[in-house]
Amino acid sequence: MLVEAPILLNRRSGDPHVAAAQDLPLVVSRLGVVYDRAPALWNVDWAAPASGLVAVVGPNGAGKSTLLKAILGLVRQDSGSVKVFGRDVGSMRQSIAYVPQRSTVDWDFPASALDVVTMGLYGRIGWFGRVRGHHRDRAMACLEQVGMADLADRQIGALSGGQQQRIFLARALAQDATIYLMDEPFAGVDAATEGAILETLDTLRAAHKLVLVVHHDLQTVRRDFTDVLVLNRTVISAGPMSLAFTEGALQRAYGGRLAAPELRAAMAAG
Amino acid sequence: MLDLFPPLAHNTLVVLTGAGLLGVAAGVVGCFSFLRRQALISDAISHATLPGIAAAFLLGYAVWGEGRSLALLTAGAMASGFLGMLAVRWIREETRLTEDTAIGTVLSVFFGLGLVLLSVVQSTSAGGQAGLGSFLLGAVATMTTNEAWTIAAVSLMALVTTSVLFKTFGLACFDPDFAKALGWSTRRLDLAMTGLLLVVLAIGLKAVGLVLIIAMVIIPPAAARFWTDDLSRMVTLSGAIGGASAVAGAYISAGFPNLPTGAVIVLVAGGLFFVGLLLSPRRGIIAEALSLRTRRRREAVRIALLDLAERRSLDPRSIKALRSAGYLDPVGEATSAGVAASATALRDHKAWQGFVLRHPEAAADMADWGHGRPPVGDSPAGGVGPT
Repeated sequence: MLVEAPILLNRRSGDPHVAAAQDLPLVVSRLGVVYDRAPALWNVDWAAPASGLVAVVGPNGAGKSTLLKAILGLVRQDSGSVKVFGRDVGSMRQSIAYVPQRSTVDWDFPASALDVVTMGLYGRIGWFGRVRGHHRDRAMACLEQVGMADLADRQIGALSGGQQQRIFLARALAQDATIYLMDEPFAGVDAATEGAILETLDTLRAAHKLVLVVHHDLQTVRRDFTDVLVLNRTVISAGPMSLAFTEGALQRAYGGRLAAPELRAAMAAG
Repeated sequence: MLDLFPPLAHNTLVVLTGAGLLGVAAGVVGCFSFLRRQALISDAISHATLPGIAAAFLLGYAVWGEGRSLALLTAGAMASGFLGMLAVRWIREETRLTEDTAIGTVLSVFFGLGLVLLSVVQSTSAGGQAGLGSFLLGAVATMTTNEAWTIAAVSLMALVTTSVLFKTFGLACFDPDFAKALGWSTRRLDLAMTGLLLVVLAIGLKAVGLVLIIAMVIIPPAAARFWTDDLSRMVTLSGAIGGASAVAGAYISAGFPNLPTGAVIVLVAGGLFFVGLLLSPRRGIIAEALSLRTRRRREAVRIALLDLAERRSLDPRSIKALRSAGYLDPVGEATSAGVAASATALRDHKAWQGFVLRHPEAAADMADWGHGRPPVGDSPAGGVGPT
C-alpha cells in the first residue's frame, strides 16, 4: 500500500505527462483512431495504475476493444502515443499479454488445447525456434491454472465456449507478462469459467500485475475490479473504483441507454 | 500384351521424382491457405500467370530469337502471378468488394490478357510456341531432365522453408491478431506464405497446367483434414497425398501422350479426397450419419424409458424403440431389463434436472446435453475445482 501513494498522487493530477512516465506500466496520451467516418477513439488521455484490475466499460461502439488493439498496435494510431514503461510498445512486447475475443478465430483449426496455450510462448521462441519439452511443460502448468489440464489433448473445436475462453486465458498466462489486456473474457461463459477467470484475475492482482478487462456487466464491476476506465470514444472517467465509478460518469457514458434501475444496481452492487 | 506400364527409363524416373516432390510441396504449402480459408487465392494466382508466360516468351524471342526457356517463362509466370495476387489483396482491402469478387475479376481479366498475348505469340514465327500449350493443361511427357531437376530443387527449398517456419505459419493462420500482438510482422508472414504458394504454383505450371494446378494446393489439404486434428500430422499427410497423386498422375499420363497430366493428377487426388469424405471416422459423411442416427435412437429410447417408468401410455414410436432395444417383449410387457433400465433412466433424469437448475450455464455448455448423469460431485464438466 505504501508504494501506491505516489501513483495515486500522479493519477489524481489528471495529467499523464507530468510524472515520471517510465515508472508507469501504461500511459496513453492523446490517442486517436479513425475507422470510418466518426473517430473510434478520440483524444484518449489515460495513465493506468501501477497494478490492479481495471474494468474498461462503456456502451457498444465506445471503442473499448479498439483501445486494447491500439495499445497493442493492431490498429493504426492516427494521433497520440502509447507508452509502456516509458517506451514504445514495439520494444516492450514481452511485457504485454493479450486475450482476444473468442469469436475472432476459427475453432475448427487443427490444434489441441495445449497447442494453443503453447502459442503464448512463441514470442520468446521466435520465428525460427522450435517448441521444446520445457515449453510444453510451462503451457501445461498454465492449463492447470485455469482448471483445464485434463483436456490438454482435446481438439479445440470439441471444447465448450467457456473452455475455449479458458484456453485463451491460459495462453495469456503463458506469456508471463506484466500487463494483461483481455477483450471481453466474460462474454457468454459458464459459471465454471467465470469462476476460473475471477480466480486468475485474483492471482494476477496478488502478483501486482496490471490487468485491463473489457467488461459488459456493470453490476459486477465494483465487486471484481479495483479500478475503472469509463470510455465513450474518449475518457469519461478513470481511476480507483470508489472515485471513478460514479452514477454521473455512467450517465455521461451511456446517456439514455442505461435505464435507472440498471444504474442503481451497478452502484449498489459490491 | 498391351504395354500399359513401360519399364522406367532414367528420364522417366527423374520426371517422376520432380513431379512427386512438386506434389509434396504443393500439398504442404497449400495447407496454410486452406486453413486461412483463402484456398481460391491460388486460382487467381495460377490464372494470372498466363500473361507473364506469354510476355516472357515474346521477350525471349525478341532478345534471343528463342522464347522457350523454362527459367524465363517461370520468372514471367511468377511476376504476373504476383501482380494478380496483389490486385486481389488490394481490391479486398481497399474497396467494399468481397474476396470472391476480387478473385473472379482478377482471374478472368489476367487470363483474358494472357489469351490475347498468346494469339500475338502465334502470329509470330517463333519456334517452340507449341510448347506454350502445355502451360494450359500440363504435360510431363515433354519435360526434360533438366526441367525435372529444377522442379525438384525448388520444391525441396519450399519444403525446407516451410518446415523451419512451421509453427510460425500455424499461429499466423490461426490467430493473426495474436501473432501481431507478439510483435510479429503478419505482413511479412503473409508474404512468405503466399510467396511459397506462388513459387510452387509457378514451377509446377508446365507439368500440371495452370487450369488445374489449383487442385494440387487445395485437394490434398482438404483430404488430409478428414483424418487428423493435429496440424503437423495434417501437413505431413497432405504432402503425402499430394506427392502420391502427382507421381501416379505423371506416371499414368507419361504412358499416354494425349492424356493431360494435370487432369490425371487431379483425378487421383480427387479419388483420395473422396475416400476421406466417405470413410473418415470422425469427419466423414458415413460416420456423421451413423453418429446422428445413434444419438437419435438413444434419445428415443430414453424418452420411451421415462414413459415406461412413469407408466404413461406408449406411442407406436416408443414401442418400436423399446422393442428394438430389448426392453419390451412381443406382447408389450416390459422385460426385466426394461424395468431396470427405466428405473435407472428415471433416476438419472431427476438428477439431471436438479443439475440443470443449479448450474444452468454449465449444463447448456455440456456436449451431451441432457444425457446420462450430471458430472461427479455435481461440479460442471472440466470444472475448476478449488485445486
